[in-house]
Amino acid sequence: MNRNPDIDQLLRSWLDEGETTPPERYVWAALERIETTRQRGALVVSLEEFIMRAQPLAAAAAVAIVAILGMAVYIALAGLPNVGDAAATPTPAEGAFQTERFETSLSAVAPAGWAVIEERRSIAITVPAGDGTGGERITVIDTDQAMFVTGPGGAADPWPDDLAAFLGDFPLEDTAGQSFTIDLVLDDARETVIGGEAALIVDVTTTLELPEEAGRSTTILYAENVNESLGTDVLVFAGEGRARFIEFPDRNVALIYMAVADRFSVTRFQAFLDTFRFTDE
Amino acid sequence: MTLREKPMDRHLVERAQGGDREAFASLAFALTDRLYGVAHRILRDADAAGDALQVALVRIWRDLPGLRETERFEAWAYRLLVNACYDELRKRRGRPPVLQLLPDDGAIDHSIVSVADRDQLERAFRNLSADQRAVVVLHYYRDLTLSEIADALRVPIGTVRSRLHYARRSLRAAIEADARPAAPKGSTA
Repeated sequence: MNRNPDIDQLLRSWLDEGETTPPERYVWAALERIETTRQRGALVVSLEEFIMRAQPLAAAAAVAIVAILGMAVYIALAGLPNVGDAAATPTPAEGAFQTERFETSLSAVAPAGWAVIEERRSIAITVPAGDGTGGERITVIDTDQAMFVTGPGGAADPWPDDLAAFLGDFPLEDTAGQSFTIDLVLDDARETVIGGEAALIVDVTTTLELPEEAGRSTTILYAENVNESLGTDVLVFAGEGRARFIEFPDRNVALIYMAVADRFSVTRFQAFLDTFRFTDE
Repeated sequence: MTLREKPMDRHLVERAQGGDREAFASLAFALTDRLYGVAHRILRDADAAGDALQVALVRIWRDLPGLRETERFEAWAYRLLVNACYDELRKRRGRPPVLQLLPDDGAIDHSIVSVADRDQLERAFRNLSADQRAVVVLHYYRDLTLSEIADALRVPIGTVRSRLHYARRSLRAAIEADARPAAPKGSTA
């Protein structure tokens, strides 16, 4: 934190400059408005807060209900006795924890040792009790920083409408019942072959998209995008096609994605992954 | 400069909670400078800060009965203010920034911040996300600790730490970039 003490002093001095007293009209205007503004009861405020916090869960529940109803209608119309083979469903090892199922049309690429159970309308990720070798529980260093690589099954599988909701939710619960969220899933492949579109989500503050040349697009993400231990490295994502960039300011992440016809390469990917530790609790 | 002024009068907060508008007016005037100072620094615009302050004060009044721990009033008020700032930033997205002249009161002459640094900081700060701006201002301007910020904004302390880290890094990079000759464009790893 103190590698460069000047910046702290500089920031304090800089922020001390400037106005501290507002024109009184703003306060009077507010006081005038409260004359006609009723206070909300404690119960209403608490309820609203509860609803706000429960919104992601409610969305997941709504998706689940829709999926179940859709499945029921499908079974009723098609006369299918069952969908899937129960025996084929992997049983999580002791100590493993499993995400809730959520609806998606995407396929996921998970790290080695993680089981991805994909069905047409749902996907569940079983996280081993450890990293697949040592039996430790995975610690997410910072939920704002991670990487997710996924590719839809081609043009027939469109990007989900509510991308932000999809990206934000890999709800995990450990065996003790403690729930936490992994924003993104790591893929430990240095080079990943994906048909369709590949997406990388990183904590980005600065990007530079180089001009497209011969159908090849390169996006450079400067060091701000990744963990401190990467130093001044940059990540270079290169692939065929044009890279696109979406920001999710509320989540402090951004999504870089591009259509890739063949191979999708990420240099310094391992260095990026190395910044995530798999440790004992 | 000591930024930790005395906490709000708890009795006043309780009276305002009970619907006493006079008590709330007293609270508002006591709190206004602190809130405005924060809003102005997050938004970098006096009008936007005034609007955010006004919205925040009305929300504080409206939701005050829901505040269970009155000793947390100020932290809670910061949260409503920061949310109002986020709304303002969203509303004003795409509009050109308003340039303001700093007051010529001599204080700037004695500042340790050079004109060049100030310019770089201003640009880099405007490039920060709203979340990062809020954390920087609460930490460096209001002198809140990371756990106080986490408490005020209701986010995990790790998130606060991360936002501060990236914000500092961006701001420092801006200052350092200005201090060295420009690197060749397009160089990569």
